[in-house]
Amino acid sequence: MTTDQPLALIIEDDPQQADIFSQALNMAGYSPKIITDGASALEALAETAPALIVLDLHLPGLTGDKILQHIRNESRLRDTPVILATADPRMAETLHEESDLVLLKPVSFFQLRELAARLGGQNSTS
Amino acid sequence: MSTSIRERFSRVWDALVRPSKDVHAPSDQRRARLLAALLVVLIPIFIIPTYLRSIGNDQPPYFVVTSIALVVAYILSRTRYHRSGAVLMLAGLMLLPFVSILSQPRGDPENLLASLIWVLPPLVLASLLYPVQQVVVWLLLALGGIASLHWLLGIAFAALLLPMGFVVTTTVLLLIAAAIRQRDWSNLQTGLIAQKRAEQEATKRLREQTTLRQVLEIVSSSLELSEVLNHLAEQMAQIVDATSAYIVRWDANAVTATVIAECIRPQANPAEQLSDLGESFPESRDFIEKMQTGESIVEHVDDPDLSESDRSYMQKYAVKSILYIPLLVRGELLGYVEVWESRARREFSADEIAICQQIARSGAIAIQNARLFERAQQELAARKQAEARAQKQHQFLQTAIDALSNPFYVINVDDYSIVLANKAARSLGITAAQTCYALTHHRDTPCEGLEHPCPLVRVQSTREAFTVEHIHYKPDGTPYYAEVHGHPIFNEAGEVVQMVEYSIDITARKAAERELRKLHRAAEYSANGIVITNAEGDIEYVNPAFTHITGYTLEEAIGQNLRILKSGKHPPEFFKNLWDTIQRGEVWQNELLNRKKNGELYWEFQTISPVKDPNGRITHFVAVKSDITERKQMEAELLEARNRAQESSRLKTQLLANVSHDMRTPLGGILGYTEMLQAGLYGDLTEEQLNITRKITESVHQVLEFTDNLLNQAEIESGKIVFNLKSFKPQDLLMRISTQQHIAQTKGIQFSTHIAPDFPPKLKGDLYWLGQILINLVNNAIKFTPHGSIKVSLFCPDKTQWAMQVTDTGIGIPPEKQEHIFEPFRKVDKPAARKLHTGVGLGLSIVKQLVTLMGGHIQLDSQPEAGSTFTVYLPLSPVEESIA
Repeated sequence: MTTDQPLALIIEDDPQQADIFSQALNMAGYSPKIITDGASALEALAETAPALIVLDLHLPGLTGDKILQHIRNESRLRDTPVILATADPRMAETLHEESDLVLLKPVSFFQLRELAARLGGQNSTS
Repeated sequence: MSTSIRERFSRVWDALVRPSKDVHAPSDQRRARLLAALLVVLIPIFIIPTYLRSIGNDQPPYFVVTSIALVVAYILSRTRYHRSGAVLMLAGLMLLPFVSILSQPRGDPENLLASLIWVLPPLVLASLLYPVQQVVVWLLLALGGIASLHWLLGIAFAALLLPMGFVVTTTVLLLIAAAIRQRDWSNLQTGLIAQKRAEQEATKRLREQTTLRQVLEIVSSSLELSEVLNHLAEQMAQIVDATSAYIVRWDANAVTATVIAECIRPQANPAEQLSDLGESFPESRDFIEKMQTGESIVEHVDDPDLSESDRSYMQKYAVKSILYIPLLVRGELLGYVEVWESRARREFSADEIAICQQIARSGAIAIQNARLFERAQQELAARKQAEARAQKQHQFLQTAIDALSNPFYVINVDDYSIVLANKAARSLGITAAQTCYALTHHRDTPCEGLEHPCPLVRVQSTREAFTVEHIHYKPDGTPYYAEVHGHPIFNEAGEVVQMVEYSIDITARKAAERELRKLHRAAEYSANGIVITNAEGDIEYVNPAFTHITGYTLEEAIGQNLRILKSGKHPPEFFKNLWDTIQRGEVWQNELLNRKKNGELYWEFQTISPVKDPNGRITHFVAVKSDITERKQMEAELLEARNRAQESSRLKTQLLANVSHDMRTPLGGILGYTEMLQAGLYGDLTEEQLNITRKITESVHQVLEFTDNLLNQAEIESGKIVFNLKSFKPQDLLMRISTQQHIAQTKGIQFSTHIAPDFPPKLKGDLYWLGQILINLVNNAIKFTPHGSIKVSLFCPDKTQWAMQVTDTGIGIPPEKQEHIFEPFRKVDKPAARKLHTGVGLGLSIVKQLVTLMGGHIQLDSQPEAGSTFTVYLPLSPVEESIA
């Protein structure tokens, strides 16, 4: 775990999912940080400049789409790639234009790792 | 006393001399009577001497012969052969002197003369009985007989001269007498002195007869009455040498006399010369009564008994004497004749009166004839007129009955013969003497029996008109139903002598009646209520089903308006629409809430059809109604059930959606950690362990696919799929199968995607459902492809559609199973599938349903062991292109 690796924000309330995402991103060369609620997510987004954001749409507090909107409205964050993870196929449908990627849960570990690596991770080959 | 003896004698005499009844002519009767009378006298004269001589034994045979001859002659005189009797008597008498001479051979001339004197009586008798010519014959016979004595007996001729001279002289005298008698018996009676006058009379009579003949000729030859009468007047005036004569017609009804003919001779005085023709005047009853007796009257102006009016009448015309002769025919006074003498007082002789009467009789006959002729003419004219009228009437009748289109004829009661027929009847093949049964029934005998009762028999017995239905035959033998009407025709005695028969072809009517009965029965037995109303909606007929539905009986419903069924639950516009529709002549159909007689409401489905007459005018409406209250209830129940089912379906879908959603997170754990195991995060795994982990991930995907498809199927079944059309890039669609791509790759299957170069950069559609199609196709390919490759292509086969194609190198599908592959919960081959795959085969069924809903179609090309190619064709709308 080194800090020179690009930061990846994992905004996910389910700890198991968050763990799996974290491992996948880690293997893709990111330094993942898990955030489990909307408010904390906004705080983290204000403080940091993540290279990748994995966003669960079903969040307590602030819903994922609101957070996505916030990201797109923030010029500093606008170009940050966002991978949406959702259990609701319909939700995925409505958002696919604005996001870079929409993954329907259950998210494949390998798939996420590969995507993350392709989106700028440094240790994609490992 | 003496009178009775004379009467008895005359009776006896009459019995002795009466001639035979076979003798008719009066002259013959007179002769026969005279002959009989002579013989009655002569026979005793001859028989008594014969008897006396027989006493003296001197019995000359000629007396006996003569006696017998006379008796035979008498007998003949009483028969029609009285002429032969006369000849026999004369011959017998003539024989007498000669036989006497011959029987006395002494030849004594004196004796001879005495014998010959017996010749005279037959000559006298002959002159009485025969005309002059026959008397001469008898004379010659007598002279011949006397002369022949000279030869027979040798008597000196000189001795015979005396008797001959005697005979001739006597005969001449007798001849003269006979000649005179022949002309006029009365002249004979008055003697030869009156001969000259008799000759004058004869001449006059001849003239009169000529006149009468002329008169008769005129009367018989000329039919012009006035001409005849004028001529008669002229004849009369001339024949009696009067100054004028008039024929006056007496009209008993008008009690006037009218001068209808006149003859005024030049000898007439000036007053008389004025014509009285056509003048009418009254006549006294006394005079007419006198005339009616048939007696002629002579009046003189100087007659002291003459009435003043008659005298003044005669003085007015200066006439001295007038002869009135009645014109009588069979006791009827037709008029009278006036013969005027104005020169001097004149006594009209009986002859003159007689001749005038004779002419007058002719005149009367002429008038009578004229009258008869006139009457005959009138009768003839009347008969002709009547005949013409009858002819005209007949023609009129014939024309009238010919105008009838139905057969119409008159039949004689006694022999069934047709005496009068119209054109329609003739067209059935009538000939003059044909009978009714031959004409219409093609029979040889009259109709009988109950099935075909003969109207003629019926009409004759009841004497009333009769109508019956028969089967008649056309000339070609085609049968047809006929309604036969018979009407009796009576004679003066009130007997039925003829019958008028006319028949109407009712075949069409019978067929219509049958049809009507059929329709009526159909209406009666129909389960639907049927109402027939007039154009105003007033009920004219309802069937039992109507009564059953509404509770109104036929009697209650008739005359009522359909409004009685109104429930008041429909707005007025509803009924306005109804009436507008049917009055336009269109059929109205709708459901209607109506009210029964008992107030209960009920639903009915009603069809109202207008009925039009040939002119297109609406005359009736027919409403057919069925009670749909039960159906309505069922519908309501069904609706409720459907709503419940829909709600339950919605709940199911929602539940499945929740299940699917809530399952994804834990499945994510299973999948993630398993893959992490595979990735060696928790140490390297043996090959066996790796296989186990792969099976776990496969099972996860199967669970996912299964729940996804359950949800998809539920959504499709709910019927509430609404495609959310949005434009998308083809890459977005391929992205939907990234998971499947990953799965295939982990299975070691070569997976490739391909977008045709000419494929539009953007499409429009529901990406979710398109994704579901593609996912299912790919899942299916992965399942049945143990190794090899899967290729996903997007291309446009033509300008109207685009296609998704999934090609695998899998186990393939046998042809016989290809058609069942899209049915839900079906697998290709159970053992094989069980060996290789698990899960429910909903995927292809969902694909098929979705493709169909999107208006596309799916094509399968597959060969067992060689792989399958599924191609989904979807419409490509121009809108999509313009957006692109």
